[in-house]
Amino acid sequence: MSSRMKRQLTAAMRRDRRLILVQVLIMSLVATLLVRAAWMQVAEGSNYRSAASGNSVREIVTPAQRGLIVDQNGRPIVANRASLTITVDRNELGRQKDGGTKVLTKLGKQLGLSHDEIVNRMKPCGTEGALKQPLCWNGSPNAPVEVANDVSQEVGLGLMEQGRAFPGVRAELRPARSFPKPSGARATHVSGYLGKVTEDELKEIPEDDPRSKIELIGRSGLESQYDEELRGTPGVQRVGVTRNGAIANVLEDNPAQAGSNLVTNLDAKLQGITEKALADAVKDAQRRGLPADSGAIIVQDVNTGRVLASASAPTYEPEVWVGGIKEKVYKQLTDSKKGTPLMDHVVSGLYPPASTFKVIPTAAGLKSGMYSKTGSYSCPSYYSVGSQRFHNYEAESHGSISLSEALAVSCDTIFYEMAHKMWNADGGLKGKPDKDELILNMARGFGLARKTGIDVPGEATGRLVGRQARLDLFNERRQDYCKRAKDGYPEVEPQSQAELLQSYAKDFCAEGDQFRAGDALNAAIGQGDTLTSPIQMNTMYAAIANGGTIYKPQVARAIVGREGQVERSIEPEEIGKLPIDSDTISYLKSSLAKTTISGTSHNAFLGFPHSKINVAAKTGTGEVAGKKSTAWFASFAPYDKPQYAVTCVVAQGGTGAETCGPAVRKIYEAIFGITGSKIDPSKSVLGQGAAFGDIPAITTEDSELAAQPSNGPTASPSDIETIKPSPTPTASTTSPGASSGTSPSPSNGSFSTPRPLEATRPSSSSSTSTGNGSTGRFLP
Amino acid sequence: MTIQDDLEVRDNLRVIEMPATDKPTIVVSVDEPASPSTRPDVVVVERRPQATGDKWNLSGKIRENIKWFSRIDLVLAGAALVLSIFGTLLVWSATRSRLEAAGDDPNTFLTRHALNIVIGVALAIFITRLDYRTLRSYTPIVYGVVMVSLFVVLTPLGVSQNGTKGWLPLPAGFTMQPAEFAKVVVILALAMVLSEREVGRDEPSTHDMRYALAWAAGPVALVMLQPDLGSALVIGSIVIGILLAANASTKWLLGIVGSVFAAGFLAVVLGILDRYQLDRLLTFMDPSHDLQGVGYNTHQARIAIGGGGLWGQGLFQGNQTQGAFVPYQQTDFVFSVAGEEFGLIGAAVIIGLLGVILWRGIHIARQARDPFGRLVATGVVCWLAFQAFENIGMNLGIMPVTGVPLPFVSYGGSSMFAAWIAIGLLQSVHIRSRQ
Repeated sequence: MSSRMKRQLTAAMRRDRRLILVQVLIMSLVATLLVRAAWMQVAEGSNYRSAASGNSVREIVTPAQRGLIVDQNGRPIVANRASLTITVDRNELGRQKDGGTKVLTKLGKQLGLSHDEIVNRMKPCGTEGALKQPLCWNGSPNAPVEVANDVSQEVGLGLMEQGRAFPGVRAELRPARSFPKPSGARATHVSGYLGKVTEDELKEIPEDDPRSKIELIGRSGLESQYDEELRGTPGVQRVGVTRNGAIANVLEDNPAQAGSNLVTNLDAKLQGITEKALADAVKDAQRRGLPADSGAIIVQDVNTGRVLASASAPTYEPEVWVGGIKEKVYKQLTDSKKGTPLMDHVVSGLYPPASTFKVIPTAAGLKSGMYSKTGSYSCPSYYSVGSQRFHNYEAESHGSISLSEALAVSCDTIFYEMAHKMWNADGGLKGKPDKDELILNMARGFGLARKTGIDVPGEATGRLVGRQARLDLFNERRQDYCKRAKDGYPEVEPQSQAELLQSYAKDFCAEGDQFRAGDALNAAIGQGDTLTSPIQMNTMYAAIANGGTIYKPQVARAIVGREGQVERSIEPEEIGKLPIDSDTISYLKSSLAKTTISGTSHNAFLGFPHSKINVAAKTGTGEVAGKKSTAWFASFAPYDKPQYAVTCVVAQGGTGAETCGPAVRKIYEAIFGITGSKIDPSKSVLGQGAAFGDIPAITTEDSELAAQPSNGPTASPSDIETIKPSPTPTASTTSPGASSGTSPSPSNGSFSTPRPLEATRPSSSSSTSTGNGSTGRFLP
Repeated sequence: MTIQDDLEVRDNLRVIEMPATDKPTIVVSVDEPASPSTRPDVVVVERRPQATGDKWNLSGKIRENIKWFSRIDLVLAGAALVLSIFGTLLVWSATRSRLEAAGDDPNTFLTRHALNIVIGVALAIFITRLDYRTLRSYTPIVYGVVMVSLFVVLTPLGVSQNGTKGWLPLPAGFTMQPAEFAKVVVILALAMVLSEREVGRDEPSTHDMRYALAWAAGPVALVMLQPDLGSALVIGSIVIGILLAANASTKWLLGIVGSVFAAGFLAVVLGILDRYQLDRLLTFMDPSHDLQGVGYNTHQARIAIGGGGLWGQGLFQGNQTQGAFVPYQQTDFVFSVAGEEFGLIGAAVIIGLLGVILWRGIHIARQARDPFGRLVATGVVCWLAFQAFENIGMNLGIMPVTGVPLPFVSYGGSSMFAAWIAIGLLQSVHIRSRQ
């Protein structure tokens, strides 16, 4: 064989070998696929089958009925009813030829909405054109979107009947909050409201947790504080579905479990009366030409701290939240010019406590040894520090009087002198911030500048004034003021005002860190930068009344299960003791007892049966620069055997005695069954005066849900009870530029821009100083 | 000078004139099966048997047809046909509920798919009857036409689907995917170049190799521009396969495979790959990557296949398929329909039929009478093998997702035509093989 032949032969064999190689390779690929398929389908098949079931199994979530919120006698304040909700299935619309335009337009006609409005409601939060939180849709992208809540039965039933004409649209009955308002008691702010669960919140809950199916969550008040107890567990039914979405079989059925009921310490009748008393006090002040833009009244049991009634003004109808609040309404509720109706001023409102604060310097004076219970001290019409004069209210002079009388007639000058002495003793201008400031420490001991821990969210801390606080304030605002000192206030008119402000700013920039005598004097009478909340003051007066124990204010009494079993009883909780001895407490009490008989509020309590039920009280008229004064009335009764403490505040409401006095009197009359000067315990709204009997047994049945028909859309802007129903043009008294004392915009206690009116300098004149607080957190 | 003058002609050999191309073409073949002792040491030119007798003789024509039919590889044709019919069921099952839900005729895809098969089979018969060596002479023309269409598809005339600009619109709502035909012309072009190498050489010269790669480079580049990574990879596998069969040196083969990998690595590092291609790669490496996005498709497909079990959920009964959970289920993920509704049995039938086709294909390559036939058959086999493995592999989660259809099964005209042209090529080589 020739070499050429050989070579060709080997080449041919090599070619064939290569094809065999390709063959082997390809057959091994084929084998790989077969093995892999067998592995997936037979060995691991069950895993995939369970994953597949996730695709064709649907979860049907039935919202749980929330627990009721009832008063101490079991009267429901917040209950449930059925609401007709219209939902739209976006997937189903997407399958329609025009993307659902026709259906939505038709639906809009039924609901009184335009096509675009409905489309916007269906947009998930954060996408273009979507409504703002909390109005936008934040549910699952695949879940049907709620486009209208609480529609009338006519509309809802109409849609149900014409189901074929509205593919993808469904009308469903869903539980919604209802407000029976027993005895007119709304308790809007205490109860709080519900809001949709946000996407971020859902992220924190594992998907298999039934809580992830919750749609509504308490956003404020008791609804938020006791949300976990109230909300229950939604029912989850897992059903197999055919590809058309029809249910083929039920795989798993966990019925919804309704939430527990919340028994509160509130008394519906008293709550109703308190709300009305506050509204009347506000209206009355407005009739007198005062802005009276916000206010609060709180009633507590002094021996337990339990809250019997709590009212905040301005208020609104709680129904506005049902089925999602309207944007316009929400704007009104958060409008500070309208007094921020959304805010619970009882816990979040901060006001200069003014004379109601004076029990603190009295106690401090006695404790220091500089003052005695029997001593007499002069109460001139003014007190001078250097060239400055600090006047009594209306420059009255009371001659030489005891501290007790000084409290009753609310003499300022005695406390000015006391504060001046203590300020000097602490080192005057050169005093170090760590000095033991007697009045400041006493105020702390009385529980101020500290949250009481009330079981209503959003409580404000308040503020006390002292050397350290002054330094902190200075460090915080220095930059702004120093900039203003240089640049002035070009935006302020007229020029004279701008110049004045600039001189404040210069002053502050140069020596704002100094705690001056004037600051100490203002602080002693609860002015200056001192701010307290109504709940703090009432808790403090309750402690004085009960002999020195500070109780945590509590609205909730017990959590009661659906079958009436008490799941949790909330017992009174002591959170502190007043740092004074019982003699001093008695001394303070007896001093306060005179107020309604011969003191500042005797007018408001004329004809009151003082001999049987003596109301011990302290009025206050807090001055706020550029605004009308804050009316305060802190009290407890009966003096000899204290049971109840009532505090009333009306911002820009004039004097405490005139504005709050009558309101508080009405509340005591209701509590004790007083008509005129007659006492009839049987007429007491609390029923024989025996508050806090056994925890009422409440049971609820699910049938109640379907029973009540919806009465159509209830939320409309006109439902908001704003605080200006009087025809008097009071609105003009509020200067638009001046920020309200309850301005919600800055977060608690932070001031990002200089506010000229806050520049409190004793050098600039008089005791008129400001406390311009901001509020606690209230936004959902 | 004619070819005969230069060759020793034996009586068992026939000599024909080949159609003129730019170079005289010499088909190298031996008449007898390779056996070292009887192997002739001459290079011969084979003559095609000429049809004799009266062309208008009807009985003769029928006889001729029967004779022709008896010579095709019936196993190969049968496997392809059964696979296509099975695919029709799968496409129908995947599309009927979707079409119904959209308010369209649920049989739209069924009828179109069936029509595609008919056209495909007709193309296969045409190619079979056409001598592949005749086809070789037309290769430059066909190559040119496909190249033009690959250019045109990149112009605004081309239509995009899922980010790939790979379709040319045709009248009556049909479209054409030139990349599918690029696979065919690359096979023909490479086989043409590499089979006409100098007589007496064992392996292609460097010049031949460069020339061959240049023919392949054009279509690959244009397909990549669409960008259609899947088709480019299929063409790549064709090139490797043909070079292997053409006895290219191992050095060359390793060099090409190595440079493809290097290019791929560079593309990833330098960010030349599109985002979606990277995502697909990431998803392949970590199947739980982006379950709602890129990973969704493969995840749902795997749920469908795994859910099928051994026997499947039954035709029209698959939860995933009938619930339309798997996107592109009638095209790239058609295998998942078989997996879910016919279980492992259905999957094995598809894989098995493809295995039969590939087995017969290699057999035909090995039995090919001349280098051109061998190279064409090898190219076809490598094409179908790689494309099927890639497609089923991505369904089964062992290959990254690249949009290649499953030959004979996936819905799509161009893909179906190309697959049947492949069968036609194999049959054409088979009929003229040594047996």
